[in-house]
Amino acid sequence: MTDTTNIQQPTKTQGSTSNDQQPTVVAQPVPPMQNSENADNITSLRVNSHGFKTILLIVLGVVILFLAIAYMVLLTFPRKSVPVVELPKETPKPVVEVPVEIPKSKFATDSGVVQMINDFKTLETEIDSVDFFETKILPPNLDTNIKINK
Amino acid sequence: MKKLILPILILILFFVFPHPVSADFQKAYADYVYNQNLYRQSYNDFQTAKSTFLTYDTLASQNEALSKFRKVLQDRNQVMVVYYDLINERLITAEGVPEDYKNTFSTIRLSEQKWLAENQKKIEAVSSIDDLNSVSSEFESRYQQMESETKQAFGRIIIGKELILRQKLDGLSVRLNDKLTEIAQSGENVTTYKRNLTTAKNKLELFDEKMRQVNQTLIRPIGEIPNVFEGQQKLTEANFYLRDTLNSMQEIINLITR
Repeated sequence: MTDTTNIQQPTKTQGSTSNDQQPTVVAQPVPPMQNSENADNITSLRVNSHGFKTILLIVLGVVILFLAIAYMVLLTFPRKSVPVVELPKETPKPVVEVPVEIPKSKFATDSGVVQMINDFKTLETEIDSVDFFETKILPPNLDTNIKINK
Repeated sequence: MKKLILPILILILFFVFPHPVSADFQKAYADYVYNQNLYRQSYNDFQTAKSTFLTYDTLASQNEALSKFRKVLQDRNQVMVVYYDLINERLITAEGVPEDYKNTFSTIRLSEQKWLAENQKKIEAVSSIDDLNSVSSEFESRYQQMESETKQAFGRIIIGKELILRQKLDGLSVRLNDKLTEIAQSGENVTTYKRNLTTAKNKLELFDEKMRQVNQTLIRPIGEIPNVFEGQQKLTEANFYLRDTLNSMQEIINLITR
């Protein structure tokens, strides 16, 4: 390895003539070469970078796994129902029906006819509820042949 | 809620149409139930005593059998005595039964109760199993007549119910006819209504025919036992024709008021 620290670096000249207006290339100082320790550090950094990536991947995997589990757990719980804000609906305007007047017979309110309607209803109930079985007066169940024959 | 409708309706009907039952009938019914229970008990006791006597044939078992035999015959007689009272009380309040039949049955009742009282004395007087067999046979011979009398009374009671309903329908039919005449006088055309009323009344002929069959079934000559079940079936059919006629008349009323 050569020492590069003493190399003359070109500098930019000032106050040049009009013929000499071309820019002067000034050599930039080249960074000195790292020694072997530096090379080791680079290697070490590469190794560390590889380890870091692995750790990063593991951490990322764990985080993704955690998020997936958390998502599944969230799915199992019932969601809180979001209160639905009911918007005021337009109430349908009621259609006003004009009642059709059916002319009733003048006998519909006749007292004699009304009385007859009631009497018919009463008789209807009596006919429907008539009892032909009269369970209270059913004949007794007797043994007519009570004897002792040896 | 629907389950409650029927009991409530029955309860209302019970109060609206109370059965014309007297306090005497209730007492007669209580006596009848009580004596029937006594008979059942003594009949079971008799069967046990009879089995014991027929198995062991000892003097003690014979005396026991004799005692139980006497008791069951007495209780059987008493059931018939109170049954005649019960039927008589029911007849008194029954509508649609001719008064002369009610009087006839009252006489029959007294006659049968007299016979039963005499039979009861014989039961108490005899002291051997053979004599009790003989007295029991007398009851058996008489029972067919008693069954005929009581079943005919039963038949008269249920026929009377249907006849009363028929009378009420006839009354309404007359009123409806009068009203149609009144409407006709006011200038309305009632020809259709009158024709419908005639058609409705014609249905009553079917009712009358059925009632003739009912009478033949339930009212038999003395000694013949009426078929009560058959009579009840025919009465139910007659009741259907009555209901049909009523519906037709109600339809006429509906047409008038529409």
